[in-house]
Amino acid sequence: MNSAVLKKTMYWFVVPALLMYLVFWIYPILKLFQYSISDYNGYVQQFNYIGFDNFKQVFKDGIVGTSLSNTLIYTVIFVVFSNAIALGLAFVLNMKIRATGLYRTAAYIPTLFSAIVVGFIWSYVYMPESGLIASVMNWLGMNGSDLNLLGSYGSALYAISAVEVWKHIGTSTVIYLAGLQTVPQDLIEAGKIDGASSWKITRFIRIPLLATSITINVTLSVINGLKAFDYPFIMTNGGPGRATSTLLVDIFRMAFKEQQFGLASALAVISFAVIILITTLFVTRLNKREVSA
Amino acid sequence: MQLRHWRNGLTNGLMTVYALVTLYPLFWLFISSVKSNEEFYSRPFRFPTTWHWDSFSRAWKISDMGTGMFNSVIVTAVSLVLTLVVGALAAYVLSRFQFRLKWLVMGVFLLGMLIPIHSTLVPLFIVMNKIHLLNTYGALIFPYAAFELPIAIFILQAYMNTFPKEIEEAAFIDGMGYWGIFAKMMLPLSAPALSTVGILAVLRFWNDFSFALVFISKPALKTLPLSLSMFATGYMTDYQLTMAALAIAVIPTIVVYLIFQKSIMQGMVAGAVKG
Repeated sequence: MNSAVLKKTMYWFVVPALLMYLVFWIYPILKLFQYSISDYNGYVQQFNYIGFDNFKQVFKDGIVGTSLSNTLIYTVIFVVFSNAIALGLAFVLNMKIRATGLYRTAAYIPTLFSAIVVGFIWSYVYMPESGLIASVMNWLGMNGSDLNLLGSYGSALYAISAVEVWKHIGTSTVIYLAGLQTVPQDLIEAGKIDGASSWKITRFIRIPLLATSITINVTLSVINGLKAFDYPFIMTNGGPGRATSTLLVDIFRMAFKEQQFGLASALAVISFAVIILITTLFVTRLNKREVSA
Repeated sequence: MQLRHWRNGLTNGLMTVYALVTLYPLFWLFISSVKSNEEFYSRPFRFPTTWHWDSFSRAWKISDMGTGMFNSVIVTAVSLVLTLVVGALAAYVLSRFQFRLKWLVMGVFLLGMLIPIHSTLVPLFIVMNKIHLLNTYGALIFPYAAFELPIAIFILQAYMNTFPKEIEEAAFIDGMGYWGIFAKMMLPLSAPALSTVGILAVLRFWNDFSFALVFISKPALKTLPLSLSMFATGYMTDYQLTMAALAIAVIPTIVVYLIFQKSIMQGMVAGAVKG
């Protein structure tokens, strides 16, 4: 029932939000589809519609193949490691051990920094010869100067996804921790009385009841991984070669360095479709597995 | 008992390693920022023999971080106010009225939470270019606020749903107008939800790199992440200077976090759960 005193003229209160949202959010999305079938270069206002040529070209040049597989590898590493570590960390922080506050702060501080700061710091950590890792190896008597994690084809993608993991563990941990604290104590007591081991309590009581937190965290990290841009752009600029070119790095390069807005839009449409598809798949699949206390 | 003891020891050991992996790079950053470049190579784990505090002022000047800080503060503050006011207005109506197109309005905002924002970079750039918003504060403020609106509206609406409608009726009888009810009652009552939204928003606005990179190219308008990015071209090998610049960027964040620790944590959880 509507309130007795509030007037319908108050509907106008929604208008600013809706307007801003439509102009800066929905309208650009619609334009994206239009530009994707054109040869627009972003500056000359005249352009032609060229059908699906852009799509054909990004497929033919193998751009979609590499950047999509890079993005997916990056996402899988990020999702698996950040969630596994965060879950473990949340269990530990939920126990009564010393210095929980310190550990929580340690987990949390990286999430507050901007990508550029984190990217720079890790570039120095990975730096050959005198970077932090190389220095530690030298100190241990190994040959750290041969280590070039960001510079070699095989390791660059893994090295930058590790940075994403490092940065995001805190966020996931806090969500898991909040989930763990809502697990009713009497269920755990009941499990103990029935003689369940602490592993069984974790496996059959805590984890199922954490399903909501798992859904949230996995979904958020999938979305985060698929839009990977900051670290590949800042730390490796997509290289060496195309070893760390993710979808967004390629879109950025095509649009703002090569002035091929049409081509970039086509790739953006593809990545848009991929992200929506994977996200909905995850949300619906994971939602089915949720149970409630 | 023995087993338990052993397991606690292992847990503590693992946690110490974890804390070290997280915090040591930061510590290393700070000591390297006051070390000469020679000592950066020769004594990577020790404190410097002479402390070069001047690297901070040099870094500040070279990258024009004063301008960056100023712009970041302006953009973050204005976007924040815009997000909160516009979001609260919409959330208020959505929590108080049932109307025919409500599902559509809600649906449009919900959709926004699923669409990856970065795929809008290209078309948004073109739109901004057309309406002459590129290289103005508006180029960042409007998209930031627009992208933060869905989550703001959902959190605020859920919170406002819990207020009984009698409070408005009482205020109305006491002679308050609609704007009065909104500004003097709804906003103060929603303070906890507003602070949750605010924390999430500030973190995102302050740290954003990709939007600033695309929409701002004028040096005078560069935000802090952009003024830091100049170290990537040309200064990267001056470790002392770059590390000092990073330290300057990192310290305020850590201080603010330590002050607002509790509400930041709560804000993060609430935001993620609702999102």
